[in-house]
Amino acid sequence: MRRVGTLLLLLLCSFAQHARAVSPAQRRQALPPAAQPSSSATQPSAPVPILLGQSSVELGGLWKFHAGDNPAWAQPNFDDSGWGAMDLTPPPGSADATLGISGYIPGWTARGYPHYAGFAWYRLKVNVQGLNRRLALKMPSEVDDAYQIFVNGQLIGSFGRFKGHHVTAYSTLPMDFPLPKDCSSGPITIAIRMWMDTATPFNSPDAGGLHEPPVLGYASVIDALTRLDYDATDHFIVSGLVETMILFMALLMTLALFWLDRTEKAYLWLALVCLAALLTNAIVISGQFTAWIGETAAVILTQVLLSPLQNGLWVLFWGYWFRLRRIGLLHRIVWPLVALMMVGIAMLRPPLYGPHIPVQMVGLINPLVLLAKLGIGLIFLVVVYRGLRQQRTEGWSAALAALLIIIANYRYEMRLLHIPIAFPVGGGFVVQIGTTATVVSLLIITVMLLVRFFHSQRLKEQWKIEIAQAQQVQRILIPDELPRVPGLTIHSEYRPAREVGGDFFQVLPVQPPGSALIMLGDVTGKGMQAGMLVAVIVGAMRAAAQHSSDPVEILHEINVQLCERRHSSATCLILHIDPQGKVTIASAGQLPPYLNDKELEIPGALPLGTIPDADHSVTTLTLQPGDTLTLMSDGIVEAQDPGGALFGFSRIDALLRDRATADQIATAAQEFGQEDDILVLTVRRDPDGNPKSQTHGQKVAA
Amino acid sequence: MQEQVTRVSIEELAAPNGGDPITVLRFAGDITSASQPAILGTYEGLAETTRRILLDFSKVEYLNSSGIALVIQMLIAASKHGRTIRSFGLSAHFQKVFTMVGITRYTSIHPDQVSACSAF
Repeated sequence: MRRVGTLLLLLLCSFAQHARAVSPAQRRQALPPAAQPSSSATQPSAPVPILLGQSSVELGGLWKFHAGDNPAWAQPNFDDSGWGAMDLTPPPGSADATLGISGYIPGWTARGYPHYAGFAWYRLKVNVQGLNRRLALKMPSEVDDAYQIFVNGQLIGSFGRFKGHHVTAYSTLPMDFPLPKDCSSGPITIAIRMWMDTATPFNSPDAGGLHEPPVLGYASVIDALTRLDYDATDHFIVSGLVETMILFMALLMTLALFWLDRTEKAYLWLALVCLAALLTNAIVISGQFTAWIGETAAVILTQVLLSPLQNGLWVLFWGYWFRLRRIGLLHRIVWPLVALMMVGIAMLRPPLYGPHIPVQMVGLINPLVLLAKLGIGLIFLVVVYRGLRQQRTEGWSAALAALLIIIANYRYEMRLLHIPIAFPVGGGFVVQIGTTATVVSLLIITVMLLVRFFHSQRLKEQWKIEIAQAQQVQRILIPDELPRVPGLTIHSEYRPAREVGGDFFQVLPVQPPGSALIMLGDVTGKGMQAGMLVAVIVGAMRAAAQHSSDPVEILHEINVQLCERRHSSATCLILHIDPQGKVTIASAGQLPPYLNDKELEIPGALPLGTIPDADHSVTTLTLQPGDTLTLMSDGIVEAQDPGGALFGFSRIDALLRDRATADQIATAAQEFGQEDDILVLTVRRDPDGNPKSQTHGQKVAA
Repeated sequence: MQEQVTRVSIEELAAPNGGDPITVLRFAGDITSASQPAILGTYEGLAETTRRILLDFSKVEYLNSSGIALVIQMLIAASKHGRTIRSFGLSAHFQKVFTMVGITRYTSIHPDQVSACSAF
């Protein structure tokens, strides 16, 4: 942070008033060291000419500087003539007049000591004249990373915790240190023992030591200057505070939206993004005012954990936002990269870097971390690109929000490339490019979230009406109570999808007693349209069954009717069972039934409604007492888990080997990931020739 | 879950055994009820002179019953035109589903492009 530095001459307005009430001799005594009346005026009525001096002095200019550490270097009589020099003069034109901030001075890594970390000393000898009150020294609020101050060989204060050679640094705060009371006019030796962590240069390209000159002055003035430094901090982080407030509001809103609509996972993932960003901001901002969290702990939390986490969470948010099908794959790609970033960054930060990870490893680890981060960025772009291709609505706003997030996430890299990431906007305020990008993108995303929420609420209302209507149709077409067929135990499990699908079945007892026609199928399409098509098929089946019990003839009649209606297609299976257990199966593209745990081999056949003269496959078999036929709709085999894996035939085989009931099969597929209606029908030939029960289950998906 | 668009690219290959060139339709993404323009539209856009068609399903991520119905319609149309169709790139699961719905009457299914091309 650019430091507040200053010449404080402003207190002197009040001083001028005071000056009129006292004698020139008194004035001489009361004035600061360099302020002396310029002439000996003898006429009381004549104006008193006053030369205002300095009440504080910025200790810019050349300091003695030496890398390394030696307690003797604190002593005033130490000969530092062989040391190098470090100029602490702020660059011309770099001061901020509004806040009284001196310009920023690059640290030692940019000024002749590249890659150096550890201890280094600054020394300066000053000769203070005309001292009449206690002095204090103000230290810059931006230093790398911790320091101890010695005045005339005496330790007067420190920032950071020094225990032997172990140092704990904090995010630097404006600090002032009173000089010893016995410090009188004359020469004063100021020695500053600096310590910088080996990992600090990763945070700023010109790290190292003091970034602004210390200021020496009267304690009361130095106290005021320190307060001004805090004011400057306030100005600097005001955009961070705004960001924090917006993040907090976004977090509340996304959690509220998720509470109202749990099916939209994007709300939850954005809430997690906001939470990670909020924690980061809280740690950074609290570090500007307090020394609660050590620099190392803050770095581990924000840079090692939260920053990579945020990168990963943003990618996943967009994946959920665009409802990408292969979200499981996205998780499998993103999390290892996030973990790689975390491990890599941890190796380049305290406490590992230096003591445990050799400094020369940076050349190897840094590119790996960058690759992992760029990898996440690349996936981010792919996700957004695929999402935008799928969802043309919200395209521009989503693209703009995504671009801003990239800027926010990669601002650190921009800084290392010396691209400015903060701009003064007048009044002493500074706008951070990353903060602005985050705030604007969050505002855009907030609008997008609200639009989606209200849109989905409206759709839900429409669905409710349609589902109610379609369920009424289905209640007619899916029998509530199965007719009794002597000698057979029939059980059905029907689990309609949230959006009403097109599964159907019928059980029709026919002559002679103990015979039945059983039909199971699935029309393409969903909702009312599918419901009406099912009505046509069931009507055609019942009409055909009036004059024939031959499954092939019935399939043929339904097929002709569907072919007359264009764009009406359905897979279907019709079974005829006679009292002796002889089964005739006609299929039109439906999954083959299972006899006990064996899948029947049925020749392939075109679905109904494809061509009028289609051949339908016919298979015959005999059910022995105790045998069970299991019929299923394709909603089971096509059930899909969040990773995109299909339930498939192998899981059905395994369930049937374990003698799973219709209910168990339907539940297994539903829990795996229901995409469509799920229908399972079991037909068992009773061992004693009497039906035990005809049961029917129906559970509506949540 | 959001359905992905079906993407189709068309490629012309010389037949390895000589004869008519092979038009390859490479499908990618999901094939669902929303794929009508991609499947039937692409088929109708083929040159009248096309005799051999090779369907590449290796980049298809999801295929449901409505999508299969569209593939069947295309195959029947091609069959009526006297065109020969070969397919490859189907998982074992979808090879089975294709067989059940009678698609194999209109196209043979092959493990890879080379074997599919040499079957023309």
